[in-house]
Amino acid sequence: MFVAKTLSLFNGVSLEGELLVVDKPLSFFGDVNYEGKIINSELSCYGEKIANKILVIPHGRGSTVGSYILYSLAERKIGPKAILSLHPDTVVLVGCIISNIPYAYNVSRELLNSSYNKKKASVNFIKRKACIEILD
Amino acid sequence: MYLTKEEEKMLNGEYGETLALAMKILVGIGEVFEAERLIRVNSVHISGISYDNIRDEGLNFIKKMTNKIRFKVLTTINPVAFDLENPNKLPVDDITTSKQHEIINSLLSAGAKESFTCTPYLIGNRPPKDSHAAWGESSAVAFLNTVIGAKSNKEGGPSALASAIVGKTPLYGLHLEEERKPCIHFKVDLNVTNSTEYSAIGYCIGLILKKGVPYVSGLSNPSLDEMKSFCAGLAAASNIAMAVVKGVSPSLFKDSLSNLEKVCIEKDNLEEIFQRFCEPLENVDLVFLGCPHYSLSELEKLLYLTQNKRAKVPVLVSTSRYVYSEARKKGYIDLLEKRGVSILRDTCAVVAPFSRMKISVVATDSAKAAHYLTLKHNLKVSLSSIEEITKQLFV
Repeated sequence: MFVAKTLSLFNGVSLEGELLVVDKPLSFFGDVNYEGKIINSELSCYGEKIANKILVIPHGRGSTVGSYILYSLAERKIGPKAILSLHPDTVVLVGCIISNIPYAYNVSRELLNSSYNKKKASVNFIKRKACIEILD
Repeated sequence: MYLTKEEEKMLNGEYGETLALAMKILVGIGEVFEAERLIRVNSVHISGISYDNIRDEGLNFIKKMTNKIRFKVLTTINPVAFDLENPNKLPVDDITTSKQHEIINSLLSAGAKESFTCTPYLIGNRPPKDSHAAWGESSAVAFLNTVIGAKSNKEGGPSALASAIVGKTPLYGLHLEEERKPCIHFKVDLNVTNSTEYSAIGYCIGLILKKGVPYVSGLSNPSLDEMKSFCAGLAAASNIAMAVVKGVSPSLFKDSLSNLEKVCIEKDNLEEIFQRFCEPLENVDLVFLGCPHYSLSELEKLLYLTQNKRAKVPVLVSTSRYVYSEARKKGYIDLLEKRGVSILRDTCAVVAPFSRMKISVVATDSAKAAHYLTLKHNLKVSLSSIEEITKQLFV
């Protein structure tokens, strides 16, 4: 089990889903298209859709417009189920808050290993902690 | 994080959904960056309001957040996609025009000032030294922290909006005295003669340091215009939101300056920056000035340098509507327009629809503009001083 930090806002949330591990910092303004597909060929999971996935990233990068893009994806029900980030950054953090996407940070670097890609996981948010369990 | 009873109520939705969401943003940021509590701000500047950048996603969010809301503090807003008084100066389509107006109307209805500038500090949003603010727009934040000595982190669109709604910001980062102390000393070892060189020195320090607070010595008595250029260059090349500049910054942190690692900025460093944007001036098909927005004194200088001359290529200068109206009263605008200089209000090259203008080489006097014209608009750039530009491109 991995333990990460989260916001009080997500206290009590419990979810299950498939991990989508993106190996490099992700910009929602440029790396992800309107349909929520990863379109930057330099990233792992190129061509995959982030809809309903538990997205694992090192951190966000680039324009603060990224927060609005996450909001738009979530409004259209094609946003990620949750985002787990190695380091916190305000663009993804604020994007998750305004879109109500559960967010955890300070996750273990090990989770960025490609072997976790597509694995099923459960995430339980309890107070300021997120407990991540790999299910298969 | 400590919240007052009133803040708890806001967060829990007792004052409506919008205030609750604004509080969630501020508390979320505060928790992650380990802020002890929220503090009052007395000034907000919101960036990220050009429809060309934020599209429908940003428009919808701003509409939702400003519905039946009054901002609690003085709030200015950044440039938009075109000159609002004279939209035909740039080729803008109808959809951009109407959606841009929707964004603006939402913000104005909540009480934002009709500012549309990246230099709020030149038009009356100038918080006192040591006060707390929540500003977006990297060049303005750097100027605020470095020159004015007020305190702000670099906010994104949604967090600045949240601060305008709540009137507060989380107490972390550059709001804390400890975090404003310089971490490295840049000694500028050359004779800096114009704003363009100041912008290039800022840009150079930004590229080297990337984040943190630099202490900068060796700049001899820079003007406010030169500091405006320096801060814009610094912030465009990096995540840096503050420098401590000897002879300029109100707080010098004298106790923490000894023992700093020292890096010299010499002629070669500056030349390396100019080499990045070195298209010859004779190839230029458009001149872009006013990044950050030109001040009145910069317009005066342009007027002086173009006496009895006319531009050989189109020249665009962006400025705020405030400076524009001051300049118009003095007769500057008419004179400049007669010399082939087009003055744009409310907008700037970084957010303007350049792609529709069919140009490939641009001359500018700003390292920040050079950076974005290259990166965002894929244009070739000549970074040259206003003296060189007016000498070669006006006859």
